[in-house]
Parts: sequence; structure tokens; C-alpha cells
Amino acid sequence: MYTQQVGLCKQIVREHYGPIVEAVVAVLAREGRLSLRQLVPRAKQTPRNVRQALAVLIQHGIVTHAMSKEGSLMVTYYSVCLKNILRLQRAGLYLALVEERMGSEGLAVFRTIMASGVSTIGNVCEVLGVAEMGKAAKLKFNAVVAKLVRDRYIIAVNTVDTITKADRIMQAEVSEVEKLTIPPTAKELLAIRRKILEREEEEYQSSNVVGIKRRASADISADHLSKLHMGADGRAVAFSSHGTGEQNGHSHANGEQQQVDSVDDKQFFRAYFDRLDVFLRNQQVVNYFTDKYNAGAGALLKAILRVTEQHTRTCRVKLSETVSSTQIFQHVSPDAPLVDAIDTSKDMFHQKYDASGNPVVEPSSKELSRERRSEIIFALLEVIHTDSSGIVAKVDERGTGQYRVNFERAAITLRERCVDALVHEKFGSVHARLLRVLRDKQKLDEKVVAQATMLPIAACRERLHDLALAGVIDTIEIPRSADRNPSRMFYLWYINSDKQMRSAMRFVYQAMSNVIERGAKEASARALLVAKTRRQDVIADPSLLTDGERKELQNLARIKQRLAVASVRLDSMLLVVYDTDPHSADLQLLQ
Amino acid sequence: MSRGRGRGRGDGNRREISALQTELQGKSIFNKNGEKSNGFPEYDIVAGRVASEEEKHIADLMEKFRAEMQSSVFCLQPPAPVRDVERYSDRYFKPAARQSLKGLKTDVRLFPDELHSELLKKSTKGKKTAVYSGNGLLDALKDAKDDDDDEGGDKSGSDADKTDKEDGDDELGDEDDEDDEEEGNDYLESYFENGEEDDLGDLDDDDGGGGGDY
Repeated sequence: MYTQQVGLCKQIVREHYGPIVEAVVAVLAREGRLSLRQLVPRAKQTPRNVRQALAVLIQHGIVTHAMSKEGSLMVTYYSVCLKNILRLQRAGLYLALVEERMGSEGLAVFRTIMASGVSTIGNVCEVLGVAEMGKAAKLKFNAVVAKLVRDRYIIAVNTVDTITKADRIMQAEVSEVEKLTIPPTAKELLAIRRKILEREEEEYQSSNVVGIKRRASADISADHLSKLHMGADGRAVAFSSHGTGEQNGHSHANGEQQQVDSVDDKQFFRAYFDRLDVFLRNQQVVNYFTDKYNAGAGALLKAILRVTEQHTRTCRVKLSETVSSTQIFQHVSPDAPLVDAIDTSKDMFHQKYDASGNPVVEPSSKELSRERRSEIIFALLEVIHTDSSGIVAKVDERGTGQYRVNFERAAITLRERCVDALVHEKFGSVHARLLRVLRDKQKLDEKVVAQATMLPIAACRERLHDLALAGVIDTIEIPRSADRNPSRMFYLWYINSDKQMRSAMRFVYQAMSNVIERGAKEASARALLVAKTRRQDVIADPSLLTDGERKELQNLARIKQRLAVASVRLDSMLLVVYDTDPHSADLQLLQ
Repeated sequence: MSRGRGRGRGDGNRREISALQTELQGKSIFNKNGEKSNGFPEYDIVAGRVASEEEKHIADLMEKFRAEMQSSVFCLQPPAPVRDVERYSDRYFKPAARQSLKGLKTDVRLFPDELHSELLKKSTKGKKTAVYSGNGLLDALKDAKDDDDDEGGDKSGSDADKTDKEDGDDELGDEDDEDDEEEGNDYLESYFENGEEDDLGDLDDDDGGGGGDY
């Protein structure tokens, strides 16, 4: 936990939930686990306000609770999860991602669930007015809801979900230990803890999704087939002829007895952000390959990652499932720009001519023949898996080959890229060059660094110390003699990854905090004008605003948009630096 | 007179030169002729990358979500301060009534018991409400009288079939009439007691009877 992180979280909570909730979060972030009795005097709020604030925070998954026995009493302790507060700042990215994959209906459902924290599909239907929709719109809505649940964009809520994870794990451990007749050894205890964590993974990977009820419908005859409609994903969706309270989802049209998915109306759901972080991280990997090579390589990576997405639960997964090149070929989008992606001719300078002597022009990507398409894809795969980053690795050489994505390597590559951009922005190109040299050569003396970067020794020393002050690089001492005399030591400069990431995170948190503060400052400078726009007479008749006032409001809207875009870019950096770091998995374990 | 020996105060010709003076070497730290000094060094501000349409769309979605949260029931605001002066804008600015958390459709099992009071509406079912029963007071008075008079107890038993409310209302009505009568007159009772009403004959007569004086 960093000071800048806590400051940022307080600002985010104040923006979304108001000053009362902010006061409660500030105390929990500063002091840690507290009971209600301890929280009230520290938050300087009335007991009723504190209870309401805690209810709001639990509803949105920001605070968890756990019972603890103190003497003869059972006391409830509350803990705050800063990671879920930071996710509020990523709302725009999540909503855009859902809109791209699920359409406007999916966006409406997801946004409603996200805004209310926890909600049933029945409540969502009430809010969105599904009952007034037409038949076709209702079917489409039902299909989208089933897809959101099946693909785990939204996940069913259990009563244990709001209990602090550390307490849950401890209780599970205690119950496992109680089953043993003798106290466990250290190895047995480790095995128990691993088993508890694996159980959670198994529940996720099981094919039974909580909230989806699969029932076998009657054989579909020709009459029934006419009632099948096309769902949002292009597959057939069965029309419900049953009573209210049940919604039909996706059906597998195989002509025989069909399995029809339905979503439980009374089950509570919440947005599953870990899964969405995986999609955003994959998008960053695609962007990396697009920038490094071309759009065709990016499209190929996108296909590979789409195949592996089903089994990738969170960003902590280090290796993906193996994917065959046939699967990749099937998942590449038909309009992927493959034509100019790679030159597969033996002589790259040779220009093909037709019989009349005109140069041969390649057809567009959609018009490519199957053979030509597979030729390009296999050539691109060869280039991608030999990339220096090591993100895509070829696992099996048999047949057309099996590939696997190394997410750990992807996280390291993305982080390095992010830090290079930060250093370049903050210090300049010379400092960025120094950093790249140190990354390539590992540990170097300052004289060698000066030679490698072609800088005078004094300038090199000054810049190295700038980077060391910022926490980007560090020194390691190598003594020449046994007495470790400082004047006779070698000081080598190197990159300490953990320290570098921590300083990068602090920088990003501070920058995001500055953006929010700037937005508040700009809004407060025009507070009277904004208050005027909220008056009922002005809402009814906008001509009451003068030209100058309208211009100022447009200026404010433009400033807000620029700040929001800056916030989105910074949050993308935070996703790369923090959420995708496999080493932070241990820190995230208890969150 | 010292000739450079020792470190006493010495002669007045010798002046001590401070380090600041040697550094300045005659330069003045104040600007001459009102020259403007650069408060900040020259810095080439690079304009940021122009936002793409996708980024603008994401920013719009984020702003809409934030506005939705600020207008929702989850945004707890302290009560507005009481206005001492009525302003013109108060006529046109009426803040929307905020919903209470008690109307929230959520799973109460997710919350600890001590927070249920903020989420659940107070139910009046099954709660015994104190209904005024005038007959209860009447019964209490009559029971007290029953100890002396048996007929009072029979009467209360026969009155048990009647509705309590009617009796209560009657009792109340009678009491009200009596109160009205009493309130209309400041001179309710004679506060001057001249002893006419006192029957002092009982004091000396052991029989307590009404025999005349001889």
C-alpha cells in the first residue's frame, strides 16, 4: 500500500459515493481491520452514517466483513479492498470492452449490474423495461444475458463472497486441520493451503456455471424450427413458451433433444472484473505485436488469445493452454489485414507479372483463397514464435504445430515497454537510452555505461543519479577487499525490477491523483455556472444561458474529456504495471 | 598594537570578508532597472497525443457511469445546510429527493446482522400496538371498587361483551364534557371554606349517627 495509492482511492470514492463514504474508507485504509465501534469515532460520523456507508461499500464489493470471537462476544470486523476501488476508475474500459463483444444490449445489462453492485436479472429487466420490449428484442436480450453468464462476464454471488478472503482461507484451513487426528506437519499444512486455493480454481473451470440452468427441451420438429430466431452470436435461440420467471438463452440446434440454457431470475450477479482484466491485458499484447510488426500479426495474436481466453481466469495465470495452428486458422477474422502482412515469395525483390505484362496485384484479405490465407498465417506464426520477447512459444513440432502463450513473459515485456515510455516522458531520450543499455547488459560500471551510451562521464553520472533517485535503477556494491572499504569498492548499476515497478506504480498513482484534482479544480472554478445549468428554468429554456456561458461550458466539457482520456491512458499503464504482474499474485491473493 | 599576531579584534583597517561576498563578487541579487527574471527555466512543453475516437468514446462512457453513480442512492451526501436567507435561485433549484437505502433490492444475507437495520424496512406486522382501551381504566377503577361493592364487579363482567372502544369513547366523551364544563368556569370551587360544609358532629359522636344536638 502506498501513500499515493490511498490518496487516489479516497478521491475516487469521494467522486462516486460522496464525502461520508470517503471518510469511512480513509479510516479503514489507514488503520486496517476495524469493528463498527472502533470505526465510528475515527471516522467522525454518526453511527447511522457509518452503517449506511458500510452497506454501500459491501454492496459494491469494496469492503468485506468477517466475524471474530472476542471473549464471549462475536464481533464483526471490516476490511477495505483498495484494488476494487481502483477498478472504478477503469469503468470506461470495461464498458467499452463489453459493448464491443456483446453489443448495446450487453452493455445495458452490464452497466446496470455494475452501477448497482449486486443485482438479479429480474431487477435488471425492471430497470431496463424489458417487459415493454417486442418479442424479437426480448429474445435477443435473453440470449445476451445467457452469454454474459456463460462467458463469465457476470458471476453469481454467494454469501461467502463478502467475507474477507483471508478469514475464509483460515476457516477452511481450520476445518481441514480438524479432520486430521494428529496435528499436521509443515508439509501437510502447505498441501492443505494449496488444496484450498486449487478448489477455487476447479470451481471456476467446471463446466457448470452457477446461475445457468440447463434443461433438455422436447425434440424440435419442423413446426418448432420455424420459431427459432437468430441470437446475438449468430446461433439459434429457442423461443420461450413457458410462464414468466424463466428466460431462454442459447440452444444447440442439433436436430435431436436440445439443451436449452436459462438464467435464474432470482440469482444475484455481480460484474467479474478479473475476467475483464484478462481481456484488457490480451488487448495490450495484441497492441504490442501490432506496433512491433503490423496489423496482420496483431490479428493473428488476437485469434490465438481468443482461443485461450476460455481457460484463462485471471491475469495471474502464467501459461495458456496449447493451441493448434488449425484452431488459430479457424479463429482468424475474415477481414484481418493479411495481404501485406508478410512476403512469402522466395525472392522478395521479384515482382510478379501476368501474361499481359502487368504487375500482379494481391486481392483483398476477404478475397484471399484458403491456401494463400493458410500460407500467410503459417509464415506469420513462424515470425511470431521466434520473436525475442518469447511471448508465443511453439510447443510441439508434430503436424502443423502447437503453440502456447507465456503470459509471464508478456507481462515482463509490457512492463518494460511501459517503464521505457515513463522514463522517456519524465526525463528524456538520453535517460531512456541509459535504461535500455542497462537492461541489455545487466550490471555495469559507470565508465562502461558512459562508453556504451556515448556520453561524457560527468553527464552520464548525473543522469544515472537522476534515475536512481526516481527508483528506476539501483547500485550493487562489490568489495575489492575483505574490509569492505567504501573507497575501494566497485559500484555497479543495475535494474532492480521490484523497486522499478514500485516506483512506476507510485508515479502512475500520483499522476492519476493529479488528473482528478485538476478536474475538481476546473469544475470548482466554474461552480456557479454549473449550478445555474441545474436550475429548472434553465433546463426548460436553454436560451437563458448567454453566449459566453455556453462557450465556457463547452470549454469545461472539452477539458473534462481531455482529463478523462488522460485518466484512461494512465489506467492502461496501471493495468500493465500492477494487475498483470505475476509476482504481485501473492499480494493479490488476500484481496 | 598587534602586528598580525594573535586573533584579537585587531585594527580597524582590517575587514572580514564573508563567503557570500566572495561568491557574489560585486554582483547584486536584486534586478536592476526592473528587469524581469525567469521564474522557471525554459521548458519545451510537448503537446500530448491527440485522443482517438475510441479513447473519446471510452471517456464518455466513464463520465456517464460516474454521473449515474453520483445521482444514485449509493452517493451519500450530508444534509444541505439550512439557508438563512431566501435566494432567488431557491425558487428554481429544487434538489431531487434521494431514495433511501431501505428501498434497495439486494440480498440481505451478504451483509452482517448489525447493518440489516439500514437495509430492511421496519415491519409493523406482529407488533402489538398499544391501543387505548378506556374500558381498561374503567375496569381498573371498578376492580378497586369491587373490593367494597360486589355489584361493581358484576357490572364489569356484563360490560365485557360490549366493545372496548365504544365504552372508551363514551368515557372520553363524558370526561370531555366534564372538562369543558370545568374549564369554562374559573370559579370551580369555592376556595374559601367557611366551615359550613363540614360536619363536625361526627367527631364527638362515637356512633357516627345523625342524631341531633341536645
